[in-house]
Amino acid sequence: MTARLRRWLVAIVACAAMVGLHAYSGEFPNEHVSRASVGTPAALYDATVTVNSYAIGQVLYNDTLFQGRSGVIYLAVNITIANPRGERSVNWQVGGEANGRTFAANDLLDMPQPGFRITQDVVFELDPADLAGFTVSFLHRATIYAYDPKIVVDLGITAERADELLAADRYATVTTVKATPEVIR
Amino acid sequence: MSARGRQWLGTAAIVAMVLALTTAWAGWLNARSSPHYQQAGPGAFADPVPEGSMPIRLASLTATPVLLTDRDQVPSAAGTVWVVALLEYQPPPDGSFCMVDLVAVDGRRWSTVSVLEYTGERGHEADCLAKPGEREPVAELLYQVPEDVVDELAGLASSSTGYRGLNPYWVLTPPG
Repeated sequence: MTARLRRWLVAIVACAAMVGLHAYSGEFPNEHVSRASVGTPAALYDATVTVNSYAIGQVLYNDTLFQGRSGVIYLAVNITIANPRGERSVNWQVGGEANGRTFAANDLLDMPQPGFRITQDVVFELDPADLAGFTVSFLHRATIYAYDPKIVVDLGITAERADELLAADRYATVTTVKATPEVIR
Repeated sequence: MSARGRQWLGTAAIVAMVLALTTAWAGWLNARSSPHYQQAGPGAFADPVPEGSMPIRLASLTATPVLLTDRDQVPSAAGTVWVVALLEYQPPPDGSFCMVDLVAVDGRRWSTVSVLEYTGERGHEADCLAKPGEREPVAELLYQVPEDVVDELAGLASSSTGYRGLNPYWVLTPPG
């Protein structure tokens, strides 16, 4: 073996080891994206998440409070998170994306304890122009991953569908449901 | 040994060293991020926090379908039962707190139910905030779990798993 070849070999092994360590330590926020559709359960960590439905309106009624601003609409996405047997994780992040912009949800997710499922609404405040193509994402961020698993659910709102929704419900009141745990039978 | 043999030997030594360091580092990271648990003796005092916080004893662990308060009888949700944990603790001079989950033998864990989930009061405080001599160092924590796991409960363990070390988390075990 020539000296040059040996040096290259050592360098390649060292680089591979460093890349491996770096990926394992989770310092890079890499994500592994899986796609799901409305009504289809998708596995994330020890739980499954299902986007059940969505609703829009210019007024949001949340428990005891009405709120609304002109120029924006509220998109309430109804989801169910089920945790049949696994560990309860609080490392979930929920967000939205449309037209290259990202949206934060108004509230944090309620995570079910083992043996329970929780159905709740996740609310986004957005420009009506961002309704078409809106996707909801669920990310489990933890140092145990080299690639954090992420579920992206396309709500299936085409431009035509967005026009229909805005024409029908733009000035509606979106009433969110209170998250209530139910035991999984 | 020939010059080529020494080169091969040196290369092999470097590769072995890199692999050993990689394996050791990955193993250390895995051990640090994987808490391990150890069952305390039945009804014995133990500190559920590995760094040291406050010795706690699980005096009793009782499952019941109806929670009695001074104002109400609160049935558990369908398919669930209440689990009442009675704790005795030995507070340090500056006081401490108890954040413990109910754990099953397979590692599943449930966090406490908020006092907002029911009306009225129970006979004991729902925290471990008493300092020495202030009040009786007894607390009662409430959990709600699926009814089919009642026979699989192991006890109480720290709800925080942020400790990065190799000491065990003690699981408080009910007497008997």
